[in-house]
Amino acid sequence: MKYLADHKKHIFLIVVFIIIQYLMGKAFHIEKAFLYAQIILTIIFIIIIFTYDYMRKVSFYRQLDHHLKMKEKYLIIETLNRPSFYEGEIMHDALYEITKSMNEKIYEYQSETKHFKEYIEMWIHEVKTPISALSLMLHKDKNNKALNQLKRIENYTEQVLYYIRSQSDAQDYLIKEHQLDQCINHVLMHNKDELLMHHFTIETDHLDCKVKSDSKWLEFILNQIVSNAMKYHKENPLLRFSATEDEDKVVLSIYDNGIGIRASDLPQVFKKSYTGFNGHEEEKSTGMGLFITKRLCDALHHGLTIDSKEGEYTKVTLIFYKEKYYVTKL
Amino acid sequence: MKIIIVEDDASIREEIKILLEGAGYEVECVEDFTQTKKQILDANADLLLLDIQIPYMNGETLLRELRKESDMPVIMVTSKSNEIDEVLSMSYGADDYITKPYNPTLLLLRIQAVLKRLSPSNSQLSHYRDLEVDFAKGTLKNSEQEVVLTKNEMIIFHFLLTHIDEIVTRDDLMTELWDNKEYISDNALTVNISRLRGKLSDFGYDDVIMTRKGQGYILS
Repeated sequence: MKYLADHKKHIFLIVVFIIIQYLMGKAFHIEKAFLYAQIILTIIFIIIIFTYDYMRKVSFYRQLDHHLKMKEKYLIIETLNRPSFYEGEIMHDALYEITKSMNEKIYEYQSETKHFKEYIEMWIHEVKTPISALSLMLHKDKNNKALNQLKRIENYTEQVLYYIRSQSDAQDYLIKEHQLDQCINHVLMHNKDELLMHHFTIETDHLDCKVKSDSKWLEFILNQIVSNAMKYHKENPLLRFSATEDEDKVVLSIYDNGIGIRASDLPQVFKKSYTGFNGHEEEKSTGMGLFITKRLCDALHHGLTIDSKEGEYTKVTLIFYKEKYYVTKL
Repeated sequence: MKIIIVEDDASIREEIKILLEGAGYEVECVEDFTQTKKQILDANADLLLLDIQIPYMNGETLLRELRKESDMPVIMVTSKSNEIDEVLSMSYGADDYITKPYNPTLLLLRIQAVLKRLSPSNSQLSHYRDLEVDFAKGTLKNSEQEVVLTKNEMIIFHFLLTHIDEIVTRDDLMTELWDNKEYISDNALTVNISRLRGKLSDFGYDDVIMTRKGQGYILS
């Protein structure tokens, strides 16, 4: 029907033509039967022409319409056959050219982003040299205040590095079997001075298990959790690591008795740049730490959840799945 | 013990040299990187601290070349905190792998650990004056009696014993304890030391662990 509506001017002209034909036939006193036959013949031919034209176009447009329903609409040109009628050819070629120029533009941005990421990664590796030199110098002078500030700089640089790593499509990680207590030990050693400064009590329970992960990424994740516990602690601070293992997973809980998280903030903590109530109180918050942590966990296929009661505790749960989990899921 | 450092950043090189010399090691630095491998082999050192990014030759390539001729202990140092690089380095024959920026006490600890792992005289038994120290069982004994130390007390005593007649800071002891996964607090350290003193005085050794105010402890 739409096709006919689109051609209503053509149809109008044809009707006018038939009327003229009829009137001319009358004017020239042509045999009535011959005149009707001629008109019917004309109508039949016109119907055939329209039907033929419709048939030629309909398959192309139906295909186009159907494929536009898919998610990756920008791939449409790859899914269409080149039509055999002129209008369709024009449209098909236009689509092809548009897609091609768009792809070129995207490629340009992609390579720009890639170069930028590479530069940032290189820059971070470079900046670590002066940080190391400074840390050695300050350690020699026993300048703990300055060392603490230096550690903050170091943590922020690491955050940028892992933000970039969590974004890149290329797999930057390597999953191996690691001793969980060893990874936790590295993180606690790294934060030893600050933990002691705040008089933290540290408890560990059943950490003697093996998990499959990337140790560098995992240590970054654990470091973020420990940093948060130190940032939001109360008096008599406690940090407890405990793990349970069953046949398809290892579950690590990290509990602290800090200021906790408001119930209304809890569902948002993994959102980018979300700072919540605690973040506003504490101006140091960037809202990036947990966001990056979550992304890294997603990439590594580790489970990550946070449970908390404001003013009482925060409990972060990390789940390391074993092969059996994936096998039974499949 | 002699350690050779291959590190292209001059200020880090200097600082590590000071740190290691302070810890009682003899230190040699490579400053001309055209003959790195030759200098390492000629130095006859007990341990090599090798940065991955060095001029003329990649640290990993150097390590592979070196492994053809020597099996000296090597600790790789890098600013790339990447698991893939670490696994590669270890497969080329590194004994340990440390990422920058490192905590200086941790660096010393890792060096000690590598040297200890490779030295054959790593026995579970040791002696202090007329006492026999059994680290595995956690006991001190002489001909008359045997006293059991807790794990923490043993870690502290062991550390003091390996640094006998030297000042050991509270931070050194804490690092040692934490490294052994005993995450005790500052107060607990004080308690452990006084208990250890009590147990030593059971053998008649009073005041062998002396407090140096503001510096640390010393076992004589």
